[in-house]
Amino acid sequence: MPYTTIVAGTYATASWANANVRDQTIATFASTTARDAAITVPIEGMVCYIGSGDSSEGLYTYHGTAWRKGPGWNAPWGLLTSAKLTTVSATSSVHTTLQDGSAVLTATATTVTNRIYKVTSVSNPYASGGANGWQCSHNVGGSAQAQFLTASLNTVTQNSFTYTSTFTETSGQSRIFKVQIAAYNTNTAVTDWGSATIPRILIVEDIGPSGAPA
Amino acid sequence: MAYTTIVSGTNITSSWANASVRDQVVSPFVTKAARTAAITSPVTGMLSSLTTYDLTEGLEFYNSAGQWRKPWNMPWGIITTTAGGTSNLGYVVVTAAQTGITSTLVDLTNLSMTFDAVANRLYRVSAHCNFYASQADNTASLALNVASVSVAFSHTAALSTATSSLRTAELIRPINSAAAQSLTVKLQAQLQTGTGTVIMYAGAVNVATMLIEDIGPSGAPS
Repeated sequence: MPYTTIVAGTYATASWANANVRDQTIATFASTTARDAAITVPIEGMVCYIGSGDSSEGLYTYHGTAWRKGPGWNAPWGLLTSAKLTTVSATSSVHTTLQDGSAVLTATATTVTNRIYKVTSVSNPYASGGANGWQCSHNVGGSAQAQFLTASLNTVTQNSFTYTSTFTETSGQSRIFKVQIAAYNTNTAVTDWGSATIPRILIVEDIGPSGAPA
Repeated sequence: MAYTTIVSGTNITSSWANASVRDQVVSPFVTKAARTAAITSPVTGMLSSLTTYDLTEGLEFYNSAGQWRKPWNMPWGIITTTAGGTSNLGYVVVTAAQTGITSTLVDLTNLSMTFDAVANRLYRVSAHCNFYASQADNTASLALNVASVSVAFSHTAALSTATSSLRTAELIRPINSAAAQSLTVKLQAQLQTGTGTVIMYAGAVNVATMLIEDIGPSGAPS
């Protein structure tokens, strides 16, 4: 009974009221646990508000198998995870392969099938081992998604870069997102600088659906 | 009757129930067509839940401009395209190089998307490409072209002549859609300085990408 026009003389039965009022109003719960205890058989399209007083507070929509944030499946869900480091990360001295460095920039979060994620990172590299370039990769679950390159760097002064890539999840799971780094052109070390005012940053955002709800 | 308090003895008339219950609950519909057929006179602020089990599954509000939209005051995320894009979503990943780019701006192959922009929405384009050159110390420029106008450029430093020594050009720009329109957004490139040609290099990992997201309203609902 998705939308019913009431006419004079309509008798509000319990089943009518539950389907047209209870299941179509926005009920408020103190927690998702309280919601799940109260609504044991949610209906697709149902909406509730979680007044939990923490980062989970807000609107949720049920899409048939799970409660999802805000307007539901058709919307971006925003921040998934992030990391900020104020320490430097140097590569090992002889290499041109991507590696974690001495202090890897990484964050772990559980992804959802058929969602698209945007990965943004800020790096501040310099050629600490002498004349050299720099490579940086957005690595998700052990696979490089995109690689960014700079043919040459100053040997003393950092050069800050903001990199963006996308990752489409086909099998939701706990994923490790990280920024890997390497020297470029010559086998000398590079350093990704980090400090309180020039931090290294990794942000992963959900930007919307790539397929059917999951 | 946006918000009414019921007192003991209130007689629930059909007009009260339709205005205070029917028009203020979240009605689910399996398609937009079913919604249109059922709600012939929608009211501003009305909320419906699409249970389409596809990309559109979720809430839509009937706004003051007479349109069913996702919540106007929020970002809507990755766009859907009418041409280009990956499975009609607003991102592309290119793994093929493009050679012979001269000082004349040229479209980068497959780095183009067309979508139906909504008036008074702000879109963010994020893109990057990798370059090298036929002659040392040439530089390249990556351009963003919106509706046949090149609106933003990102320049590289001096390029190398080797594919093993690339430079990445990044470009992030907002687009404000002042009117509802079909917008084509594409990347272009050119030789910026020097006398050779530049190459937009792309491979399995050294990809070239473009992403378009709706990041929120820039004006009144439309």
